[in-house]
Amino acid sequence: MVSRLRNKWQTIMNTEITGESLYMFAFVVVLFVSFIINTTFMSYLVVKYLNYIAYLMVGLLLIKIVTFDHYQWWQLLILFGIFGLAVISWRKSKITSLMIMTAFVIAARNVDFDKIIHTYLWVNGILLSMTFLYSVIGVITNLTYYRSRIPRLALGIDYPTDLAAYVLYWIFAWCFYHYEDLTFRDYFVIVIVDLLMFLVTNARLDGLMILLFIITILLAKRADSGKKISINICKTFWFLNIVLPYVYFLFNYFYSGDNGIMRRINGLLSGRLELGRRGLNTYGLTVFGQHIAERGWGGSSGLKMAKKQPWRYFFIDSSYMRLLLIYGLLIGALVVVVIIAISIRSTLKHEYLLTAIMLMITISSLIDQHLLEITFNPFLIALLANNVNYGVKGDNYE
Amino acid sequence: MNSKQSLANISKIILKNLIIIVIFMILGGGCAGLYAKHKQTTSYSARTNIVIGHNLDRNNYRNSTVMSDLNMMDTYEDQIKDPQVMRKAHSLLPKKLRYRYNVSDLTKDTHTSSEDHSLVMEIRVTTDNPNASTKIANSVAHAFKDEFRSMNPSSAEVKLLAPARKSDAVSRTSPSAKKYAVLGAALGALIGMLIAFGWTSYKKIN
Repeated sequence: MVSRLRNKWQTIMNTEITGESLYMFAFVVVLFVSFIINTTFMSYLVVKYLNYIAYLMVGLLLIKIVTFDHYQWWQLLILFGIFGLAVISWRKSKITSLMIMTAFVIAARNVDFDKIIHTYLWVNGILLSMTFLYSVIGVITNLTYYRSRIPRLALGIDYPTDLAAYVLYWIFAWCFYHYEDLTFRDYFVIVIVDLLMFLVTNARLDGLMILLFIITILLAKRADSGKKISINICKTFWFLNIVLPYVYFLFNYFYSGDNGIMRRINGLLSGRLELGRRGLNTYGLTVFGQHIAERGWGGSSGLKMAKKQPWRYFFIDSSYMRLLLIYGLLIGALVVVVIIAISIRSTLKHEYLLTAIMLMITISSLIDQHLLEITFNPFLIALLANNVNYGVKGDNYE
Repeated sequence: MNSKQSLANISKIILKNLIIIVIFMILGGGCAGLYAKHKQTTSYSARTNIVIGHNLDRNNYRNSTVMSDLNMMDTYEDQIKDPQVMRKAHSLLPKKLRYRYNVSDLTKDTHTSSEDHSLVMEIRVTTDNPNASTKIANSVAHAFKDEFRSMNPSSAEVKLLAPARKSDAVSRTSPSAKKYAVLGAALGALIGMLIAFGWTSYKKIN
């Protein structure tokens, strides 16, 4: 009996830890922790301790870079320099997501990207469905907001639009993972899911985004199978990743309540342009980032504010405006470079799936704040990960 | 990697790992419940009401007077929490309570509120002792009435409604051990599922 236990112990102690398994472990833990932070479980938990767990995982990732990744000294210097910038931004802005995302992006060497997406799908799938269940049976609060008499349920997440964003990004990941096997039945199911999500959350922009995504995926498929026009369209995606954010920034910068057209667009975007303009006026642009006191609608406190004092709302929704205002110009530029790099690399390989997804993420990030949150967006990891390419059925690209 | 999981596959995984999930559920529920039991305190809330307004008999502008009184309610809410009132309230307490609670305790434990369009202000005091809550609520009301004129040069008056009584004090025990146990079990189940999934994937790969 004892010797059997001892043998078991030996096998456990002797199992090889690869850099990849370390990474995946940290990934699962951080996905879990960051997801919980976005739910109404937080009425009972303290954010501080969950953040500590995330920081521990970040430390693990840094260890992985140094011990497993076999970088040259100058490469290590660059990576840690970038991480240092992320840390400065974290200290200044008091927001953790950038630092955590940076750690996962720079530590991703020799990690299979397919495995990452697969893990993301399973972990978020379990977490989302169980959270829905818990909120419906009453274990945690199911926040209900109202937009002119229309109820919007958050089903355990802290805000309905965030719920919609979870669904949106999950669909991105699902289509990425099953890209080669996508059939019209899958698109049909996605449309049904979109409809259901819209009925529950009344998130108009996210609803439209999913439909746009189906079109983009179809374009990417056509481009991958060699249709000339689709290829040319998809070839333009990479620089839209800088043009669209820039145009959006201009809209924010030149927003004026006196202009009727601006007001209409602002209304369609639920006030985001006006809030962006206010942010620019009040806080201005910085190089390394700054702390901005925001009061969002999310969570029980947000719901209370929505009911009693809605005029106190101040939140920068757009990830790109957040990059400029909160995280700083330097980090903002770096993030845009990362997105464009992933997109260009894919385009050069004549593989248009990732470039399509990057474009969709950019468009979505114009209006939502999830670009740098690992619990929503695992795609930035594609920068350094392995196996980011794929083979389309019947074709063989190098 | 082919991953189109059939429902049968998924249920097989769940059953195989059900033990892990159940263990974590019990662990989670147990730890959370014990933690809640450890942190459990009972607090007692006593409340009394006051009315603040003008005497409308000798008044030619009754409607605007009432409107302005209503608008002052938020100001009065803040005034009650002012040290001037709190110190007076503290001095009105019986000696034993004066030693147990200082002025900042009073400020922390007192909560004022009023409904929209109502000249009635509720003073609610929450402490760990029903007698203390009652006495403090009543002395805050009296203190505000005493200090009102010096803080508000208007001719409005504070009228005390029924004083708080110890027998009416509302007790609340929190956190609820049962609720925390359920939450702990829920989180435990989540963690169990993730570990089960992780372990299964890990075994599949290696």
